[in-house]
Amino acid sequence: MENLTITLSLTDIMQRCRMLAAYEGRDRSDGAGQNMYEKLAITPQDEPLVGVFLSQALLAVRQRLDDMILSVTATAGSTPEEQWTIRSIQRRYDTKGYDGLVTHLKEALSASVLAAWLTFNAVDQRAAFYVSVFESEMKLISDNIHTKAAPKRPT
Amino acid sequence: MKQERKQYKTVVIYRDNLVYDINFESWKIARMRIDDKTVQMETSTDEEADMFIERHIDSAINNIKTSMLWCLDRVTRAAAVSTNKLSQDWENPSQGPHYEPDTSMPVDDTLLDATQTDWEEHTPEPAAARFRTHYDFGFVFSSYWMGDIDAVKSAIHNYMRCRVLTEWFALVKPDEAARYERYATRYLLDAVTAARQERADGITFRL
Repeated sequence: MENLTITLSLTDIMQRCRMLAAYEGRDRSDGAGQNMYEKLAITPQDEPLVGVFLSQALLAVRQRLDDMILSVTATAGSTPEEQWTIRSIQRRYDTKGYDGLVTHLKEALSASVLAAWLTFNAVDQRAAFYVSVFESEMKLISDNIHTKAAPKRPT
Repeated sequence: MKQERKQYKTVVIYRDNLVYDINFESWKIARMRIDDKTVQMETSTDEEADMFIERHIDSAINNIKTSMLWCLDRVTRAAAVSTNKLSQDWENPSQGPHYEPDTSMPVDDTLLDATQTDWEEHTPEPAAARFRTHYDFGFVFSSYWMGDIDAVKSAIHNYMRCRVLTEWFALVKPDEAARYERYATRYLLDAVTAARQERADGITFRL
């Protein structure tokens, strides 16, 4: 039996951020009545900055789950990803929650990036919304990853 | 003179059963009495606490040996308790510190031989592989002993369980520790009482 690993595709998270930012831009207009799509949509030119936001989000999430993470491996290249090995054996993690954990992690990371992106673009009200999404996702993640399975009966 | 017939009994406590009970109780208590999931996880024993559990199993065995010395057989009395008998150095000379007896003071050979090594917390290989699978207690009872060895075994098992949980909860949930300490004291007394169940038949008094 081996410790569980979580693979986070940064490309997928970035893609989700692009989609959410586009929706935010489409539905908003600035004080002069101009649609904000052009401003909020994440373009290839914005990606280095959004990449920084994603790195910060990853750091923040890892910091909060530090007690459960054994090691982190980052892969660069055309499909960048991070692989977290969690201390599932030592801490008897309840593996039933694994799929939910991965989903919540992706949501939390996307929300954190969007909060930073919207703050950067001075859309504070929506940024606050994404901060609250991030916090509620982090609560779910923390509860999930700290759920201990029943001990196994001796054979 | 008629030779007294001794009764030899052995109690075997299996480690996996004992650790299962410890894990299950701490897990159940954590789930039932704590809402916060992080605190729940820290309150319940797991593999991370293996060394802690093993050391307190050692203490429990030592206490049992002290309290029941009169009826233990020679092998059990002489045996070193669990982990102290296993040395990391013997198995892995390249890993971990090597313990040498302190020869700076004049000591006799017996003391040198009795030098015990201790384990490192950062043991490089899974600790579970090193633990004993069971703990043996050999008893020598007199021919008058009418007790039930299962009662002795049950009391010893429960004492070891409660002793470890006392120490564990003293660390993580002190309000539970007091309860387990009371249980541990009671079970040790039960073990001693069960081992003292002697009855003498056929005694006639000449007046």
